Amino acid sequence: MKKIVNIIIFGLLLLIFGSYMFTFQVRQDEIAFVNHLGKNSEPIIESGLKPKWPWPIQRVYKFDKRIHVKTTRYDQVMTQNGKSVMMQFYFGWKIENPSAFMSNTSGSDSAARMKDAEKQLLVIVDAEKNNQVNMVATSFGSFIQGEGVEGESRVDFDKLEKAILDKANSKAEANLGVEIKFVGIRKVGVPQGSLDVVLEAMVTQWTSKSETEIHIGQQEADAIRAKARNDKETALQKARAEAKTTLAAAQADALQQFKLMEQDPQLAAFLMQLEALEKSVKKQTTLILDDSMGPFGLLRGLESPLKKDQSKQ
Amino acid sequence: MGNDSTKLKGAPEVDLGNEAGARAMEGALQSSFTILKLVIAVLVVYLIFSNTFAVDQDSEGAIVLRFGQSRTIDAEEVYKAGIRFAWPYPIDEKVEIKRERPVKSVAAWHAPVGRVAIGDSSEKRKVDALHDGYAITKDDKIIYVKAEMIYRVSYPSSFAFDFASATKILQLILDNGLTYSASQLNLSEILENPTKFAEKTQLRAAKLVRGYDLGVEVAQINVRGEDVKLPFYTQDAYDKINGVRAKIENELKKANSENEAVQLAIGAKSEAAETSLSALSGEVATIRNQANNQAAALRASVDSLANRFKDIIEKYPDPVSRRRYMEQMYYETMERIADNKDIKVILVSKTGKASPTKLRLLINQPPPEVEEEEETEK
Repeated sequence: MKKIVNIIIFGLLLLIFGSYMFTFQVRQDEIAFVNHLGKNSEPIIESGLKPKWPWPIQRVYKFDKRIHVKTTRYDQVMTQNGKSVMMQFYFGWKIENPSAFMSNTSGSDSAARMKDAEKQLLVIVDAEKNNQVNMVATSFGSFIQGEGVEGESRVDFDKLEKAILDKANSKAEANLGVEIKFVGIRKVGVPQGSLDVVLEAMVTQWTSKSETEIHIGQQEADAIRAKARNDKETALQKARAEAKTTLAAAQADALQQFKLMEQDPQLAAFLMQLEALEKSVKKQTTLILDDSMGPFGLLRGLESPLKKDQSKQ
Repeated sequence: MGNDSTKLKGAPEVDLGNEAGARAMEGALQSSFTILKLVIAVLVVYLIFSNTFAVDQDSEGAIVLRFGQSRTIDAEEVYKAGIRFAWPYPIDEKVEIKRERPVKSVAAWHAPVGRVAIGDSSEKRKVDALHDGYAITKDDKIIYVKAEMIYRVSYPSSFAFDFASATKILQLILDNGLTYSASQLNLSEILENPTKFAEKTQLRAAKLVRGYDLGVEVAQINVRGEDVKLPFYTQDAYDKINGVRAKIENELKKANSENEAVQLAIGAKSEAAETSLSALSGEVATIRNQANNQAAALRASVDSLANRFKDIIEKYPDPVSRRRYMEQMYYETMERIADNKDIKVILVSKTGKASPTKLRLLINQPPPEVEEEEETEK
């Protein structure tokens, strides 16, 4: 029983160490090369468990065949008109031709070769980026869709990205066995000098705009007030005219009544005077009369007003 | 073992102690071996199930690779919730996938304040072309903007095995989307409507995601109000415009309310108000009311006079009798005046024609009390 257990344990250990020495695994996102005494085999693309001779007879190189992404530096790119624009691109790449990749990259291991490939790709993409931007853009304004930008000089992001991709990809495939899958614009900007100019322009524009707006607003408010004053004055004039008309109508009516009273003007005058006298003599009034007035004439034995009238008649 | 026991039986009594020790040792070793076997068995079981894992519903998924080859790529199976068995590495390997994740973009956002030289105050801090990120708008303005994109993995196999760093690519796609969308919209549109900006960015990002075959869907892009900011250097100037607008609005509001008050006063607000004097107010109404009152008073006075005149004429058609009646009225009036305690009547003797007595009617003039007192004293 003991022997069986020992045999099983020994067998398991042998299997484990043997599998590490004599097999290797290729993941589905990897490509492998077996270097047999310094000579590389055909690339192994199929995933699974593969046999190999132990080191130093055979050595396995594995590469990640997934799409890797890399960004360019955020630096100046010259446009057609000699103006510069700050741009940063990114691109995705993958090993397309493993044999070509192996022969065109250098490095002690897979990671070093991948880094070397990225370095070479950066040179290719940078060169194409400079060429293509120079071909399509006249200035920084070409990258914004402003009203003042003419149709032809306006840069279409998609077209520019595709143009760089096409050119860079053909070079990358031929020189490195690498396929560039996509290129994209990450950032677009302007150099520091132009940036300061843009900032100053923003401040100037807004300061001027605020001054203009306050001026226009004040004018508008003044106009509303002037109209209100004018309307008020017009309305007052109209009201005064209406008041005059109303009073004139009342006076005309009164005149009609006075005409009726012409049959005894003395009576009319007497009634008016009497009314006026009663209205004017109210509280705290002092009347200074001579003895010929009113009933006080009797004190002198004068004739009554009625007698006077009779004598006149 | 049996032979050893037989030997022990015949041995002298002195050896009995050694035998007992040996037995105890043997027993201890046996129990140790049993424990060791148990531990090994537990370890083996643990080893076998060490790669077994559970998948949460809706939030994550997993792909098991056997010798480097995925066993399932179907999204439904990948996201199926429950316990999954996998042999220990290197036989099986599990790749976990989060179903929905956010990525953030700060490529167009300024560097943390204080990291670069900012001058005397943050208001004077200009944009640093190298350290600060920013976007440029359609109307040639600089703006800081950041965003968050939530993506959903729809093809787990592509997402996990076709891209070395899918998350980084998604972040770059979001950067691209922000740069692109900013160039398509005016500054005011972005500042006032960040949602519109986010929608435009989402369209761009979704297009790129499809183009790159990332195996994900862009679920949402969030750009909140605080994710959009003007450069510090320009903020004051921009705020001034808003301040001016508020001031103008206030000024216009005042002017309009003044105008409304005038219109209301002159009765131009409604036709009904023009016809109804009571509905009017202000100076116009006052003028109209005064005129109407005066006219009414005049009419009333004249009408009353005319009626009185008519009554007297009708009652006293004979002029003589009318004169008598007038005299009567005159004396009655004088009597009423004389009877009134509030009216003082001072009678003076009429002098000759050369120096006629001047009569004065003092209305509402109270006689000076002091003088009166003096007179009474005299």
